[in-house]
Amino acid sequence: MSKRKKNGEHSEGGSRGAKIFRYFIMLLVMIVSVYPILWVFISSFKKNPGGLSLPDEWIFDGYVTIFTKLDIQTYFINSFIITIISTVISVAIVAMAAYVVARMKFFGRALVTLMFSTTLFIPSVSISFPIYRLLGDLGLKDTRAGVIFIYSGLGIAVTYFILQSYFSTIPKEMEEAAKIDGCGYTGTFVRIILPIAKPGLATAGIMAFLNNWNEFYFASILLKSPEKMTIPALLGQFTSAYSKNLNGMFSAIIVAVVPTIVIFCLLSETFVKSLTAGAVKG
Amino acid sequence: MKKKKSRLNKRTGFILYFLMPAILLYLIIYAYPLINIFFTSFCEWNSKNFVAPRFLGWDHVFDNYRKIFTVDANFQRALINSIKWVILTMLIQIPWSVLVALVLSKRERGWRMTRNAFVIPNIISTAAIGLIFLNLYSPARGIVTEICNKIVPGSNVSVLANEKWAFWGVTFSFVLFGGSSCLLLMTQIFSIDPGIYEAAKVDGASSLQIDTRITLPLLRPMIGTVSVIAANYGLLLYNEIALISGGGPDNSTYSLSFYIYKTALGSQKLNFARANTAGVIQIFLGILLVGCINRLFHTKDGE
Repeated sequence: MSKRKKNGEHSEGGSRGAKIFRYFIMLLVMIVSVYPILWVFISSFKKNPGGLSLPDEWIFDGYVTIFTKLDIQTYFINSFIITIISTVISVAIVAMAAYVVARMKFFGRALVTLMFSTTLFIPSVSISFPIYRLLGDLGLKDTRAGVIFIYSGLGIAVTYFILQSYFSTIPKEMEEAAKIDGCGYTGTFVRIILPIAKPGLATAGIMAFLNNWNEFYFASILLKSPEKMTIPALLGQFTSAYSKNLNGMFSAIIVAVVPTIVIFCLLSETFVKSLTAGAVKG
Repeated sequence: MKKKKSRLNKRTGFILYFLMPAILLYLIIYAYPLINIFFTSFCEWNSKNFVAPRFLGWDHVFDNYRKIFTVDANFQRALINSIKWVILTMLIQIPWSVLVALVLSKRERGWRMTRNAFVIPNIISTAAIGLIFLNLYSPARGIVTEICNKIVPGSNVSVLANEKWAFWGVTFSFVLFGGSSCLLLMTQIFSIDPGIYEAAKVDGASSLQIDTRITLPLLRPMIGTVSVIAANYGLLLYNEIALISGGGPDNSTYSLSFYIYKTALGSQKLNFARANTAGVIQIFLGILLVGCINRLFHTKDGE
């Protein structure tokens, strides 16, 4: 019995028909999930992208164009700066609140949790117009700072639930020992709690990073100047602006998705943990 | 005594100062816009009086809501489409994810790779997915037209030029990508006590019986959770529409989110009040949806 549990790679058996059915479903999953990306990949090497066939001759023009003429590096750097800063801000701010709620009794404690829960019911598109106006009034429209500001607030509920439950699992003795050693509240949080909570912070951080990296709606309505756009906003431009340069479009799609796919394949177990932790609260 | 008091003050100060950034962020990004769309949904506010919203007056207080449901054809189409997309995610994506989770949980050779492949469309940018499907559907370079021409020569299908097909084109750009749901379901399946399965096997249950009589009932609360997430995605659909169909042809693939965007920011005849009214309705529908699904799956202890 325990042998099977340990050896997780082995199948649970079943009749021959059942096995054939399972492989059929698995094959279907592979086709549905991988084929669209594979098709774009193959097409990106064709002289005239598209169609079912393989390229007659392999052409790398598209990739050359997007790195030399389109400067896709700029968009990567934008995406990277915006995503990193907003993820750090949101995880830091939410971690502070989650810690206080997880560890201290005070008036209005339940209210803070309620506050974070309500954000699950407020879709960003529904409230996007007031946000758009507000950023305009603050002079943050079409700036990276404005997008960073918005991203810092998106998805805080998930971050909050992950971190709050993680902080509650840390033994209280840790803080008491720190207090006896003369550590203040802030010192305890920064020097004792945060290092222990690293796995929880990583889980929340991966989720936030992924969401901010892929965010399209606010990026497309807020960022109008090309030199400030993120990768998803750039892809949005292809529906009209660059649609004449097909090789460029197909190559850009591949260059945009490959980093995510590679990192995911390398760290799949970590990702799977984050993706499941992030949504458990629904 | 004094020392204790100062310690208490320190504690209160610490709590306030640690909560303040999160509360501020919440007030600016969620509370203020929420209150704003609620109040302006009772105002007149469009491209004619751009500067400031004007209250409609008590006699006409619900005018925006009345008009949106009676004279605004785009909104009505958007509402119907969004409801259809909710139903379709429930009817297609959820059963499909459950089936795949059950199959993969049998750990046949290659299950891990298949699972990862299934998740990939969910973790790459939907902007990329949208662009990929835009090209797949294109008559000039896509494969859908080519395949249809092989089956029915000369049919020259153009998915995005036909009102009915465009709706399905948008649907199939997201509805089969249930990787995240599948992950959650698999985690739940793997947490089921293996003893239960051993007992069932001893009693001679087939693997189909085990799936339908044991795993599925135990999976019910998690199916409820993934249904909430997936149905919400269907209700809020925006990116795929913006990239693939642009709401067309002839505004037939509007969703609520796309309507809000078009009405507030993306057209010639802007009507901010009406967009905000649609926002209020969308939030209300979301809450209703969560309530209904939770009731349907009857999750225990009010989760």
